[in-house]
Amino acid sequence: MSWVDRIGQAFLSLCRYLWFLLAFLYLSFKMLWVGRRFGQRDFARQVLMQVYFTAWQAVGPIATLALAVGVFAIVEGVTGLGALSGAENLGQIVTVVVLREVAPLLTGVLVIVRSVTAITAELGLMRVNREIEAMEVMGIPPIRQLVAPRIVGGLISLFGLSVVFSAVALLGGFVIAQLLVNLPAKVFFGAVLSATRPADVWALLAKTLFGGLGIFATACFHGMDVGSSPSEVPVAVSRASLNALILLVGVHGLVTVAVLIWVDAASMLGGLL
Amino acid sequence: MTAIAHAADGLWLPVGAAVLHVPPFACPPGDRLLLVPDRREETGDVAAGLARVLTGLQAPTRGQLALFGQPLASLPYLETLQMRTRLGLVQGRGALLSNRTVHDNVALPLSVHGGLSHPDEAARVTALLADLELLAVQDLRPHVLDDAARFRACAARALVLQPQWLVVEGMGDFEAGAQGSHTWQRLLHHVDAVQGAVAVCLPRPLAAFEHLWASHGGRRLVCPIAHHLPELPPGAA
Repeated sequence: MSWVDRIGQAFLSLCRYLWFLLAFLYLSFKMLWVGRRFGQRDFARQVLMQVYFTAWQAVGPIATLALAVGVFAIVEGVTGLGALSGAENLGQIVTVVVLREVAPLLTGVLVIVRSVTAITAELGLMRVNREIEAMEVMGIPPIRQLVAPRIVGGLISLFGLSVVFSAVALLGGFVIAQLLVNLPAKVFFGAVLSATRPADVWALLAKTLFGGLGIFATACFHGMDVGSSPSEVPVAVSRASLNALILLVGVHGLVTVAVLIWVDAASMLGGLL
Repeated sequence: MTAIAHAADGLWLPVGAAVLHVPPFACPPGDRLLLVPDRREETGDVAAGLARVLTGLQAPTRGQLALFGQPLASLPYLETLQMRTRLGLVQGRGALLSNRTVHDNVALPLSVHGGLSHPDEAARVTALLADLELLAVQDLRPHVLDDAARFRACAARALVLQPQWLVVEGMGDFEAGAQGSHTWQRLLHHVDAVQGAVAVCLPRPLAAFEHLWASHGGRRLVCPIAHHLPELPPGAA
């Protein structure tokens, strides 16, 4: 087989995989609607549990990570760019680094490490232990009762964690800016607000929404795809986390490019150049 | 009277490397059917395969099963789910949801399909758990239970919606012996109370259980195991 054939085959496999993932996502949201009669109480409970495991239990690690990112951004800004651009631009540096790129990306990575692996392993083991079959035979659609709440709860969690990450990183950056160059709060947060455009907020929302849909659909898809052997579970977990990471980075890249084209690259980067 | 379960031409299903043939049968309400393979099959899980086919989780290789007068193969997914609220399956290893307590496992079908208030739901579940000697373990997760308790909890979950077609897979991992016998005595009391039809799928011939079943008025259907699926007669679909 020539290398052209191999590239073509890999491309077709990727298209097929993305098509299955989209169909799975469509089915999950369709079941949200057509499966309303299958009980809202248990569905709501599942969503809340997912938010608890994915968001509430991750607030500590996310806040620590965000604090470190905010501090590093300011320290690097002061030591590296401060001489070139002036201390008043520190707020812009934090905004560009944190809001536009790092917050949604690092939050997504942490969610993949904590929750995508957990969801895939849980659903995979449920498949192996015939728990999903038991739900089917009770007349309870597993897509509605297991998959849809994890995707909905995951999206809520990812958005909440991104907001927490951004807030903590900005606050951490401000504290360090105060200590290093005694930057007044008005100047710092004024710079943050002036550097934040509506497009940044939309981009953060789009990255969270599409990135979240991609990573949680991937987690559930690989979990539900496990057969009857326990040895399939670690393989599914490994595939799900890697594919979710690739999807997340891909979504981030696409949204960033779209925003750059939409807003005008020169004005977006103008603050730094 | 319409049969609850009906396989006019019998059913064929794979069990490991062999094929199991279920002769034609019809189960009217009140019927108690014991499906027994004619010999021990070493390569496949006969009881699980049979139970999956009898509840519509798996299509037979040949033949068609109709439940409540409707052929399963032609039912759309949502209607199949709706129909399944009228049947119960007791899985051999008691496939209870591992992230819920025993009580929550038994309450799940009621909370989704029952339409009862929370106190009514809790009362019905508690009564069933008490009757199956599970009250002491109702707040535990399934993995800490022994096989017999897990099997009883799975039975409670299958019975909680008062099914019209109850399928019992195997006998649990505990099978024969004093513990198994005690569990079955308690279960048969509930099986007798099911107003619809009941099918128990045995993994292999078990004389002691077959005798117990006959004493409760149940009938027995022997299912031969073949090495290959036989050729269809000329002209057959």
